[in-house]
Amino acid sequence: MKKIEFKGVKFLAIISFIYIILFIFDFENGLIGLQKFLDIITKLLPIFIFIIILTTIINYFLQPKKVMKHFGKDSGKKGIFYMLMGGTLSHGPMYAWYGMLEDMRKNGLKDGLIVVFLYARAIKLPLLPFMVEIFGIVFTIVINIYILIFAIVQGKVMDIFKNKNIEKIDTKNKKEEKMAEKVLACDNEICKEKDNCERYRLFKEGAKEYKTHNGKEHKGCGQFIKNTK
Amino acid sequence: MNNQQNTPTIKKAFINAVKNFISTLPMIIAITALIGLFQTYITPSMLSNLFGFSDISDTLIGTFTGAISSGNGAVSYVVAQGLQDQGVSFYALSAFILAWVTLGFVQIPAEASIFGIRFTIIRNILALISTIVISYLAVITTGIFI
Repeated sequence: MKKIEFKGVKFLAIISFIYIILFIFDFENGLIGLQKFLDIITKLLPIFIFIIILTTIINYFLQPKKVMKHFGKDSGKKGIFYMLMGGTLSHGPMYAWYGMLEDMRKNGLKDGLIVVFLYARAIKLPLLPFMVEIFGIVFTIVINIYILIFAIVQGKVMDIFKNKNIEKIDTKNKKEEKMAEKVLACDNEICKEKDNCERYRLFKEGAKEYKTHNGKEHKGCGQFIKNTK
Repeated sequence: MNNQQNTPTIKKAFINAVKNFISTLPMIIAITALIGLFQTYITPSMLSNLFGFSDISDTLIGTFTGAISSGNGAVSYVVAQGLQDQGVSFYALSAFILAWVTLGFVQIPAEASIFGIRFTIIRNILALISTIVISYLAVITTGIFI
């Protein structure tokens, strides 16, 4: 059976330590903080149950392949739409959803869509009447449209960062592969540097693995290795 | 046959969901406990004392205070209503409410432990910029319609 890997244990240790210190030096406020904590966690219980049920449904119906299809690299507008809807309809604090999102991310959910979901949560359907009362109906409509637009924009920007990072890693891996590549001989007869190059010497001496690098009459190939003999 | 093996039963899916949730419990407890402390030491009246200088500074303060505050989104509206009574601008009020829900300095360590530091930094910076820009755009656009 797979072992559970707890997240945020160090963070919890630090917070517990702060509470201990508070109980020693500021008992009254420490106790108020603890009561508020218990209040919040009690109110969150139904949301936790809802999230467990939702995660079960996602685990059951959305196999990794389907997650990839609807929320992965090529999910397109449909993925954005689902995440906007999900973010708008989701209740409770943001951190309560981290576990479910992490699970989906492991199965292919792309980072841009996580960003879309998390920002779309700024729209709080049950609190809209409050918003109308404070800001008026026009402002409420306008700001909520902007939230949706900016959620999409942020998702796109995150994907650009992500792709750049992947490109960087690819380039690094390619470089490392090249470095690790064994020295091949070169049969490039027209290279300017051929008489000074170890690769050409190896080819002349009958090396079995060889290829033509891009040396020209007026320049070397750029992978020139000084002849040791 | 292979497909059948790959399809989880509802029981397995439930166990995985519970395990996944339990694994995030220390993080959830830590954040909630920290929120308890924030709500004890940073009161709405303390927040409202920070406003009232200029639209720009109020917007920045609104973003910042929204980001450090935490708790139920409804509380942000109650605080915003109090700020409105004090004459704080719409820019600051919308920045405050948006930052309250989308940012959250309290949950940054947890977000980083789940999604990675790079993701967390980029997401929070994007959310911060968006919050300020949306606040201004929303007020300006509303001005056109009214």
